[in-house]
Amino acid sequence: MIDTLTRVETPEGVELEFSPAGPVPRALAWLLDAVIRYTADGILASLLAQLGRTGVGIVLIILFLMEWGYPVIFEVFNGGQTPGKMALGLRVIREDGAPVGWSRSVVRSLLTTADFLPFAYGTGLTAMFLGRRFQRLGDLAAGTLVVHVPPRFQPLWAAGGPPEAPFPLPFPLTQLEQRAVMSFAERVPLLTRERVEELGDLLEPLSGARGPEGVRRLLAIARDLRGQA
Amino acid sequence: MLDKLRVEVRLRTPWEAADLGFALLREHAGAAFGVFAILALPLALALTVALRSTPWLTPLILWWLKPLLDRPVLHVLARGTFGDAPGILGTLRQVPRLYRRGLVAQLLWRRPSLDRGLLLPVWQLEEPDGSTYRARRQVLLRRGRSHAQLLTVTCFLFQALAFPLVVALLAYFWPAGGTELLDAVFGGRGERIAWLDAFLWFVPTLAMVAIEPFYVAAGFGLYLNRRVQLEGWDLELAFRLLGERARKLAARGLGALVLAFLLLAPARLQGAPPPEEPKQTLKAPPPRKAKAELAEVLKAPEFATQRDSWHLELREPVKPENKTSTPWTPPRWLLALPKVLASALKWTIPVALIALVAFFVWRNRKLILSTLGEREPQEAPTQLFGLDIRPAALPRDIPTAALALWDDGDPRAALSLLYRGALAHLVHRLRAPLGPGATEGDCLDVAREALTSGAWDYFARLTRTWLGLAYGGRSAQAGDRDLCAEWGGHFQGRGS
Repeated sequence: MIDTLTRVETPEGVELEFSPAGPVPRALAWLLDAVIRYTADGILASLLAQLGRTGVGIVLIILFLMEWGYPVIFEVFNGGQTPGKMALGLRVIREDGAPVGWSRSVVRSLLTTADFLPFAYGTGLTAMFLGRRFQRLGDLAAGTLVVHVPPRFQPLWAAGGPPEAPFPLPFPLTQLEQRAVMSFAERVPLLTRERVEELGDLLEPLSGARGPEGVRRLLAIARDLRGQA
Repeated sequence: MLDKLRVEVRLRTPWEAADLGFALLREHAGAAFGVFAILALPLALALTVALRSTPWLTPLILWWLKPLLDRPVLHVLARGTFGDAPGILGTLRQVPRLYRRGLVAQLLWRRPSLDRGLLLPVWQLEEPDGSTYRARRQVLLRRGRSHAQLLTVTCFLFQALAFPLVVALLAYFWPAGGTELLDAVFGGRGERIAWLDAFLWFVPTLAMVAIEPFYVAAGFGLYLNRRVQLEGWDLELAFRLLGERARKLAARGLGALVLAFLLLAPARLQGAPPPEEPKQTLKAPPPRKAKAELAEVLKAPEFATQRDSWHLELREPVKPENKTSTPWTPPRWLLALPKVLASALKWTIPVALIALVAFFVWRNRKLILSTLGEREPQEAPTQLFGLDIRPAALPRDIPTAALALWDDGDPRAALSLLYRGALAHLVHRLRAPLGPGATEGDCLDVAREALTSGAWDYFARLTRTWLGLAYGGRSAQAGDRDLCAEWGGHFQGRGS
């Protein structure tokens, strides 16, 4: 099966799944970060320019710190997310799934220079397009990944009206099956009514009913599974 | 149809869906890129030759003709989604059929659309008619439209970056120096190099070959995710499996019931014991053999640890050379500096040590003084918790005075006198170490050391009675009068 995931097994035997992020969202995140950074630089520089030569010195120091420290500070203290990455739903992690620390983040940040070569991040983009896990050189050297933040937990669709009578399950469901039923209940508003009933009919052996009644029973099951009244 | 899906479907964020397109493309990279290159490169060559006089037109026209090239790539990806991706030849054979419908619209009025990536599959795979198309377009674009547009812009930028990127790369390696090359490419001053110009006009085409399949794939990923969203493909797959299981369980449940009845009924009638299964015991091999077996197992490649370590070494070890150049001689002040520093240190270290000790002493002066002061005899207190215990303030014959007070009807004063007398005895005669801040409890503790056990019992009783009378609000009992008489047996007043 073709999938976006990369899997990491922890020493405890737990398998973690991450979805590495490709060049398009990452380029957009970089663009957003660049806009934020240069705007901040510009404001600070225009303020400090009032101080004359001293101000120029301070501005140069600040420019240096912003250029190299901006990604590191955010990645270390903000769970691997710069503002641009937050907007695009990305996060930097270590290859083994742990949060990035100082050293890895600094390596990543310093090697942007290598990725920039020969011009406009040519090397970095090429590396990302070629690699299975979309790592640029800095990522490869630091052993980090940029991954998609999984979408948030969605509330169950409020069916309207008072809560329905619960429907007992004829047999216990596996975890995957439970997830499917709950996901169905979450996504009812995204689907057409006909499609909802079509999907509900597939589970007639479970719910013992077709059409709207079958869907109602499935929603009741989902509510029970989630423990939602 | 969905059971043939070769792509893991689930609800993804749009950007993750675009990356799913990338994963799909990677799986079918050979066919997709191959077809694209086979169609694009000859076309580019032909255009270059035809438009020799106006070379800038070639990339522009080619860029406009991209839908022509996108179609076979999308064909490969769409078929690959369901597990029967055609090869390069198979795709090429399909090309005429692929161009049959919707191509004109795609090349004319649909060409500038920023939603192109997401709508490409609709145009090519669904081929809807007028009103159906408008409805379909509206539904698809309701969510994730901004992602489709950003994708188009980003991919355009990637392709546009290729030209400066290649020029920069060449400039780094240009034998005559980078500025020479930049002059040759952009400036009018330098000599134009024909082959370089031809190559550079070809760079956008190469960039298109490299990037465009990714764009088509990402757009297809967005489209696929939208379909999954709208139609619940993942739900259908999961529900089909679950429905199947439920049906089987129901059938087996019924079957098991019938079977159980058939099997158990005669067994119960005959009272036959259930057939016993032969016991299987897993016997561990003897320890020595186990060790050998373990070693055998550990030899397997799964347990091997192989490590490649690389390090750089000089081919010829460096020999110490006799330097012919005159060694650097430091100026005189630098040579004198260590001596100055050393003599300075010679004086500073003792001074610093003395200062440190002095500071330490000064800082802990209270502690030091208090340890010194402990040896001096403590001055006996003249009063304890408000009671005057100076011997001079007490009557000579304390028990008699106390009895007299008691009989006068003032037991409180009598007990007070007794207690004060006892304390005076403790402090002045026995030199018990009692400070002016001592409490009644402290006195009891100190008295335990200083007095005999009989005297201490009396003192404890006296203390208890006095405290009860003075602070506890207790009235005097008749038995307490004995305290006056017993006092003389344990303590001594001033005179006696």
